Amino acid sequence: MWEFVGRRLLAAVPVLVGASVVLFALLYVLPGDPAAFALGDNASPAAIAAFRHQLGLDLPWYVQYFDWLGRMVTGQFGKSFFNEFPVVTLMDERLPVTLELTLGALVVGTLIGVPVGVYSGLNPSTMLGRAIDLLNAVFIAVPVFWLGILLQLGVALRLGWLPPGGYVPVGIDFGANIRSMVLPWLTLGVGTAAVLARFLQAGVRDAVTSEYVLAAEARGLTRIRIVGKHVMRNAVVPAITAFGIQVGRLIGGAVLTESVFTLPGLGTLLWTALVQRDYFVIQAVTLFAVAAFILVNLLTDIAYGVVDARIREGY
Amino acid sequence: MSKAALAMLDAAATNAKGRGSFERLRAPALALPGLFLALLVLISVITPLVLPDAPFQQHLSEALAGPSSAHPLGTDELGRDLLSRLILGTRISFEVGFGSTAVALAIGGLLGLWSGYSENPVGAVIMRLSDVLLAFPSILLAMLVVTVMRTDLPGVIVAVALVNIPVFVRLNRALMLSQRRLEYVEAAKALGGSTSYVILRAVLPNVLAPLAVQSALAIANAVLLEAGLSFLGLGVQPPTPSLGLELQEAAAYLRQDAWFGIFPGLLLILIVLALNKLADEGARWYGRTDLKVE
Amino acid sequence: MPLSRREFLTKATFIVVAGSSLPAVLEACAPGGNSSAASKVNQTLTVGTTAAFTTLDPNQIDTSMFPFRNAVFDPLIDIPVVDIPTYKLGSIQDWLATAHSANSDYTQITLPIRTGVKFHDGKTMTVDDVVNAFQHALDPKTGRTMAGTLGAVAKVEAKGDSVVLTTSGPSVDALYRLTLFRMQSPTNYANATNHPIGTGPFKFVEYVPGDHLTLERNTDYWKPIASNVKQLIFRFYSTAEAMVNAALGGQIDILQFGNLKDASTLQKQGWSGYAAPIADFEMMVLNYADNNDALKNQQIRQAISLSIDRDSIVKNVYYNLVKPIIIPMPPSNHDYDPSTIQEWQFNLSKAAQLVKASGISNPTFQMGAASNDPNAGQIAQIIASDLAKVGITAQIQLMDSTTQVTNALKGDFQSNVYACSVGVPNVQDFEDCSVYRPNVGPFSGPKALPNYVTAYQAAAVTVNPADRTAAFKKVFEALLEDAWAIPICTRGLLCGQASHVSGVSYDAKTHLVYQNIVKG
Repeated sequence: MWEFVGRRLLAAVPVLVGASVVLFALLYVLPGDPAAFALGDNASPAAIAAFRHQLGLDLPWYVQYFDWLGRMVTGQFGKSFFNEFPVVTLMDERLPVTLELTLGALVVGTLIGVPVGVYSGLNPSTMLGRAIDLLNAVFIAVPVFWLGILLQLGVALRLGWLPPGGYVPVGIDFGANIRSMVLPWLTLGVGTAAVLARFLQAGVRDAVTSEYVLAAEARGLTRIRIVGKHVMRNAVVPAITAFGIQVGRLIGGAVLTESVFTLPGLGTLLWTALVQRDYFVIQAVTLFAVAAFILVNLLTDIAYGVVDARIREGY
Repeated sequence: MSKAALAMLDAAATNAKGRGSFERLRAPALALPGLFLALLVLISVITPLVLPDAPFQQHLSEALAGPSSAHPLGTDELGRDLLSRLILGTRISFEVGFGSTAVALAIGGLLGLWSGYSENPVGAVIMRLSDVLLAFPSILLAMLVVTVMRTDLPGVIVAVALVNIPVFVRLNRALMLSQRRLEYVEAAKALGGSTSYVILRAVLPNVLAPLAVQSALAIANAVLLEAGLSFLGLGVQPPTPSLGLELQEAAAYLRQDAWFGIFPGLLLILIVLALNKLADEGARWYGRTDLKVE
Repeated sequence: MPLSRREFLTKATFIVVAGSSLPAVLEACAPGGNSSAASKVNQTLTVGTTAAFTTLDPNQIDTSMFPFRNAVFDPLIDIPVVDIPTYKLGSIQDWLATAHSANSDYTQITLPIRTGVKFHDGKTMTVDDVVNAFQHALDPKTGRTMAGTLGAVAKVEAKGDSVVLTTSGPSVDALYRLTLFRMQSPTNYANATNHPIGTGPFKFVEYVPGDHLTLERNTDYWKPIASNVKQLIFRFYSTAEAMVNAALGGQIDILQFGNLKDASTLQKQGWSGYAAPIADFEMMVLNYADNNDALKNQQIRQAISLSIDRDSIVKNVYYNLVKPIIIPMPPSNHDYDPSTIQEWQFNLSKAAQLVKASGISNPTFQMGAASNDPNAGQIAQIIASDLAKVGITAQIQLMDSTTQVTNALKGDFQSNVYACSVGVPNVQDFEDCSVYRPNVGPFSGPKALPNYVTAYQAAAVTVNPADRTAAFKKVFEALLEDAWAIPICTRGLLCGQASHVSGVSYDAKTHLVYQNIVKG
């Protein structure tokens, strides 16, 4: 198994390097000059030249790229052009928020999706089962930001049950932290719940009609035991796959959700940096997202491989 | 996209050949979403041709009015009729959806099929490049590309296509790899068929089913991606409406006029829902009921 | 901890600070005093803002948008706004300078400096410190935006207990521009970007970029403070929507730079809301030097000017809370002459005639607007719609403001709907908007039109106030004829405070003055 992991990790390195090249190329041709942002309408050619020179932006592109790559590899991610905070510090402050958002959404999605999926897989023809089918399809189709805005308007502002936005760190007030995260978790989580429920539903249905389950029923095992032992073990496979697929959605959705609920996470950091052309921040956060994406895919593949030996043999 | 998901794709591709007589297609399941989409396409193409000015006429004194006889869905913040803007916006969203998917299908499809068939090392390079692009969360990649290209319809189409091309590359390569060993391909080669003949005339017609399914999903994703980009201010340029742009404008006015935001959102959901249902039915038809890839 | 919504609605008592009751409030809330009123009241003031704080160095930030400057830094002299809704300006007040005077030909300004002022790190401020900080601000490498603003000053030196500024030519402006300078500690330059030290009523505690900035009361402040606020927190919001939601949810006490459309929503919750007394103009800048034949033609440009329906824009985009302007001077200004603008009111038939007379068929041009400013986009759409009625096609291009400024710097734009920041609005200060300074700044184009330059240069050297008014009237007439930088309206962004906050006042640059804010 470790060979498998080792091989995959090694394969991830060229992907990361390739991503850094693509990212750097995009940023290089990106219109808009950070000097313009810093100096605004008081910018004179002399001030702009001075600013760009201070930041090394007037060096040739290959010098800039290898400089940056070299520093990244040794863990120096640079500083923000404008507030001069080290990028690492900026990301450190915001990582816990984004982690809490995405992991929480995953948990909420699982807590909702698993029972819903199992139930509708076992009872596909009931009214509730059909209703779940429809709701799943709707929640997969709903744009994340629209859902967020509706929840904000309805639950937070009209009803006043929860805060409309903002973030309270866990250390300061645990209760307030949870209250500030409920709506964001729901916003991001229902999409995950719906996808998970559909995968589970299909997996459960497949398993329930399979031969070994029919044989088990013939042997007289009760439904619950059958579900518990045989069905779930096989339904878990597509569920893990669903997680893997959802990771990309969660990362992208985090940007939009953080924006709607004013959460000081990596998503809003990236968005602000993009507007300001704060290159080092953009590069570090994007590559971090790419690396996280690759890592989570690897983890789901490992889980998948552990559960289903056939896949492992194929690689 | 994880390797596990791709493995499922590959498995599906292997099953594709010889599967699925048309009797297994459930007509009712296809009919509802199919008719809905066809109707929508028809309305959204014809209405702007007949009434080209309606989405753009400003009635500044009637801004943010709710539904009325003159404006069945109400007006937006500049007093423009929301119904006609939604119709035109649907057309724009479809343009992005179909346009970007067509580009992604053509480029990604050909590249994928070719890299699966030919021994050329360039094929491996293409696959690595696809992996790199797939590793970017799609909204981030689209945001960057759109900002580079200076937004507007072509820029958005290119950005969304770029996000989908790697998906089609991988799918088509997987399909080609599974088809390559089959008899009819060997026969075509033996009869002296060139690479392009084998790819286009022999294999392609046999993999249309999974391609159609992936295309439906890609269109749905494209429509959602465009909405997200417009929400961040990176979509089509005003005064041209798109469903995403209407949502973004409405978001600021939800407190004053809720109608403004509800209709574009509902329409977006219905379109994506219909496309997903079509994709589901197609996937079910060729053998996997749980295929849902990003 | 900010009050929750329920809490602030039930606890909403507030102290009305009228001039006469000020001493009573002072006594009740003096630092160290243990009045029961003060200890029950939450003494943290939370200010919400949509302005993007980047660097905290007072020399390097956009002069129109930073509410926290007056909390941490003091000016040498400043001009207050005495009536917020009409943006009526008071007379110059002394702060770190104890007096201010200019010589008869306006080439030298003398400022005796106050003694006994301490920086936040405890060191005493000297005259040499002021000279040092001023020179730091004048140097383009360290002064950045401030260097341009104070550019008329050629020399700074200490003479006894005064600072003497010598300008490069006669300049009435220089004294008014001085109100923009903020004093910082010369031993702290290296850290000024994210750990500022000044002399102001609040000192720096913590900065988390993009999230919040925390300040605490400076108990050694040289001036008695009427405010009972012990801790001042700024919270940043990327959209005005998010900020208004926070206000409605009771998470902030003061709101800065929201959208005017939310004024009535906030007022229903007991907030006082008003259009910020921003000395900014929303304007259309036409690049007459570009390859676009339409814009090169003066009649087309005049037609564009006549097609701007300012009243509709003010009503639809700004909810009638700002003023339409045709020349770059607010109507409340004592030198405003309404006769200047008579021929240039909104008139579509006149515009159509000009288009015909121009001889250009199907005039078309691109109109840029900042995508992160929703008002700019709406203004652009309204103008484009009216232009279509007179036969001119305007293609709107939204781009983020950084791209907009970058392109303008290269001269690569055809036109822009643009919010230009003006310094202190006196007769002559409209040219603080860099658009009007020939060959300076991004939007002024590669060469300025000769009529304007001649009139402007003549007016700049006129020092007698009555003559200046007449000279600048000629400048405005040249501007209207040439029609390349067309003011639309004063810019309105929503500012306001919750019902339990009083004592809010502003300086002429729309910075909050914190000395008198009382949270009840």
